[in-house]
Amino acid sequence: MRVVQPQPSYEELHRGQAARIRRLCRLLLVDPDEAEEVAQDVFVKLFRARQGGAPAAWDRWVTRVAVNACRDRRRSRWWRWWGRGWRALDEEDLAAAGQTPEEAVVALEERRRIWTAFRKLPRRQREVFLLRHVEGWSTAEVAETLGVAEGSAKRHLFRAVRQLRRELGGEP
Amino acid sequence: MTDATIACLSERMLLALAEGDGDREAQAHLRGCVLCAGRFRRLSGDIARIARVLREPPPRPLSHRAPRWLPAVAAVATAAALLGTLLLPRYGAPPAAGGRPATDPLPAEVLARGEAEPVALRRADNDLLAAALEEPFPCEWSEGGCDDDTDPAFGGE
Repeated sequence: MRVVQPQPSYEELHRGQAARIRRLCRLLLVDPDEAEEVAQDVFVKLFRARQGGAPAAWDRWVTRVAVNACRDRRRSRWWRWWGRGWRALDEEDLAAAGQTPEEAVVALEERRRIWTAFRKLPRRQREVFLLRHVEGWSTAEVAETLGVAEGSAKRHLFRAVRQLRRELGGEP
Repeated sequence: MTDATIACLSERMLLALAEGDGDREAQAHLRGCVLCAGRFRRLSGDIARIARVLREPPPRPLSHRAPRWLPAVAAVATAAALLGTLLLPRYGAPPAAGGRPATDPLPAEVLARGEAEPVALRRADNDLLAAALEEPFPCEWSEGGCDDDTDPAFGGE
């Protein structure tokens, strides 16, 4: 006899996915406001989808929607760039507890290099690396979510890793 | 110690092994080769380090956007360049035929200091030249020269 799992409420889904989706949007888009807007759009879609039906796996569904939403936003944002001015962000560049000032400077420099290298990657490589290593999905799940063959996802992943390591001064 | 049956692993193979792929031969080599084991550890460490950093908020300088005034400055500069291109030929063009180039009169204090003398001389030269041109043809240039005694002024008939 098949046991029917109760559907999670929207609040539960939001609570479980919000931080992850915000981070994902932030990684795929440069602007924090833009990332927040897209994340809100994703939550609206999640709310509607929750009323309409039940995907097999909500986290995969939400991730796919977020990746597509970020892609759409990147395509249409060239004109938004001019409308937004410089402003300082809220991110903390403060040293972590227990770090000496020298260690903090080195750590900050490394963060900058990694972020710069990551943002230089082509869109697909960025998406694959993000889902595989930041989200911790399997290559097969990444391929399915992005709608590409698993071999293609592995190729993108290899290129992303190689490029990132090259930018960081590692191998090769 | 290196497994002699297989050459050292490529980076692609190391990544495949890190992904849980890779054939048995490559796995055996990795277990036996100190060099490849070290490369594999560095690869895994780099990936973990990158992923850890990307889970944190981005550092501040990366988030700087173009200044708000940049589009306005660009528009003004473009308009100025366009205006300059349109107006330059007007000021640089030669005067119309028959017209005189516009000159400003000398200030009174310059004239008072006597610094206007070269200009005055030049004006005088112009007047002399104009007067000479209004005179009849000079006798030196005529066929008989200036010794023409037929001229009644020299007693000719």
